[in-house]
Amino acid sequence: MNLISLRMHNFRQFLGTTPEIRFASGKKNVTVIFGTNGAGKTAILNAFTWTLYDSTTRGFLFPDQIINKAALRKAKPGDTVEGWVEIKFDHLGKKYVLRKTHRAIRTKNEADVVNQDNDVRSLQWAGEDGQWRTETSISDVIGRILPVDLHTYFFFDGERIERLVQPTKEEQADISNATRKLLGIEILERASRHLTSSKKILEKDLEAIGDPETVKLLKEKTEIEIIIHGHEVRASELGRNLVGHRARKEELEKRLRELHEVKSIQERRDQLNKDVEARKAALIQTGQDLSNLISSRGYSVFIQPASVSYRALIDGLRQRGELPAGIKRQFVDDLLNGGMCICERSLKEEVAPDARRAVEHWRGKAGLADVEEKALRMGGEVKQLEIAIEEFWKLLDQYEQKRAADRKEVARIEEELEAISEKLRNSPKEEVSGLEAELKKTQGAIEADVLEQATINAAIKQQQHRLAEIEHDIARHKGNEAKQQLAQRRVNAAYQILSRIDESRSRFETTLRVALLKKIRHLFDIVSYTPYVPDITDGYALRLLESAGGAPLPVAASQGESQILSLCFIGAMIDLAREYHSRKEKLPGPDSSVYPLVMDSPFGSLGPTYRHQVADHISILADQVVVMATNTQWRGEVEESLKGRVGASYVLEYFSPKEKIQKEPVDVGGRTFDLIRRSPSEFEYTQVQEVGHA
Amino acid sequence: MDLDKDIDPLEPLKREPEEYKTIIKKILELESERLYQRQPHLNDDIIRIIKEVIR
Repeated sequence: MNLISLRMHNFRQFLGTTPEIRFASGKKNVTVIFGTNGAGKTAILNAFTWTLYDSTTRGFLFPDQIINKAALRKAKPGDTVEGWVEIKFDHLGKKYVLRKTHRAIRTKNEADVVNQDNDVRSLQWAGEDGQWRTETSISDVIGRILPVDLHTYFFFDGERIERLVQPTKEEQADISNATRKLLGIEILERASRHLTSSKKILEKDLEAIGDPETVKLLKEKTEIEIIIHGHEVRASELGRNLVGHRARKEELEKRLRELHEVKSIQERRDQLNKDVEARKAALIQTGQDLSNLISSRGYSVFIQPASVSYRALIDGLRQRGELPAGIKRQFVDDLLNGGMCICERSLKEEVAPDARRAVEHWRGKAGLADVEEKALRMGGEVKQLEIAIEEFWKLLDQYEQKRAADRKEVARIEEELEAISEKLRNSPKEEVSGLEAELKKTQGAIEADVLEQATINAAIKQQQHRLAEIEHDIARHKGNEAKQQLAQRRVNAAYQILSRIDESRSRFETTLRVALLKKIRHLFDIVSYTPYVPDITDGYALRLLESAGGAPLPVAASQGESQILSLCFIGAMIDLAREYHSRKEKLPGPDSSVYPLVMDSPFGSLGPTYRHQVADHISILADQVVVMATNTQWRGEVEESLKGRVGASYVLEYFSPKEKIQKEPVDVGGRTFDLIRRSPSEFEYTQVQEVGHA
Repeated sequence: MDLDKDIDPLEPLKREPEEYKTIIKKILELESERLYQRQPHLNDDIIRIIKEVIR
């Protein structure tokens, strides 16, 4: 989707029809809209979301606030007043004009306005032939161009964007869905779901005509599916319980932290909990290192006897004087063949048989020269092997020692934690002992739930394994009758296709997260000055890790860092989608490789360095960037960095009915504009001024 | 995605026999056409596709 322009009429602060706000694209792809607080920056953001998706930022748009107040008051009683937004955009060679209109009737009673409920939306489009056509399935068409559940990533309030980093459970699912949707992987998920239920229908067909063995297998399959479903219900119940217990635990700990008399003890406990987690993580890591060491180098230990017998063999040869051989076999052979010794005595059989015998005797000894050469070479390798064995044991010892130390430390910390808990439970202050007892109970409940969850997950896995076996048997089972065979082949096909689709899906899942993380890390590394490294958790939450001095631990990111991280996530997502859609081979689906980013105040809560960095890289985040900013947010670093990339600028001039107004001049494109001006009437409103396209 | 070099996510969809490839292609196209719908009902269409190809 490439935004062309926006026009508004009597929409919120904007009185009358605004000039067309034309959005920059291409090399200078940044459009800046300046406005003071309340001038209508957020209204512009909402003009997009209201028109395209019928959604608005929290608390923004009530029906009775859509139409400009001055326009309503100026209307005669009985008049209908319209407020509308018109967006022009193009997508894959087609040009679109979308308009949404809200109407209100001014009643006879001056204070009353009747808002009409049914807003009207119209969408016209023109293809290469230039003919304009009217579209009736407006939401469907827009949904195919930029899906509704992705719009919050492309049209957003910069000051609230950090919510992406610490989202609620539902929002986490949204992040993961959005990424999949953007890459078109959602169709695999849907296909898998639909195919599963279609397969059931085909199985029923088969059951109706199937042989007894197939019928038996299908019955067992249904029973297992019921068991699995029961387990899944319980698992999700436990999941919800755990969320509740954990929230309760946090709350109790917070309250303990707030109690003056135990504040320091609770803080100590927080620290100990952190330490014990780090130690446990280290234990897992060392365990992995240990098994890596054993699987890659453990074999060397078993070669040790061979190296000992090699040494014994060579030593024996040396003791018997057979090594070193001192003479080469080839040399002796040459002498014998030439019939002449080096002392010039004949070695011919008929002339000097004794001399020939003596030299022939040397030939037996000379054979060992080859052994000597090999022994020399092997000696080096055996030596290396012995060093490797020694190193292996040394490393093994080191890991074992580290594990022992970590285990000891874990035990010590746990003991201290228990002592703290006991102390608090026995506290003479009722509030403290009560909170601690409650905390202990909650921890017990968490442990019990986690344990049950693990047991259930294992049971589910086991049943799924059996289910796969049955599915396999059903698929392989050969029916006799032609009809049954056909039904069997169809079930077989559905089963095979489903497993292929699921395999493809799971491969996407694996690659997607890694590729996305790589891109986020790359962007974050460019933009942030902190040593933190972004991470995506299993639940698709974004977080920052810090790994100074050992295992990486999550850091509490500041608002600025969270915003940067969120912007990096969006940039990475767009980049990934762009890269994916440019591939020759891909899943069928809408080609969405051009994305706009419309941001309200993205620099709001950033410090100077981050402002500079974000401004520096904002134009690479998306194909088109629209930024709404106040004069203060813009001036300085942001202006400096973005100067060369701004293709269009607009100023929102706010007209205030107040007599005394504080002027707010802004210099844009060599001209000075007043962001706040005196209204010629008793109404407040905003006018859009174009600064000029570069 | 650069990681695909090692494991191509599309490879399982391209495996023989031809019949399966055809069905997969048709199902994915169908899904893609209905992607804009929140909960499309496609079971009948999918069964039709399978029955048409596997005769």
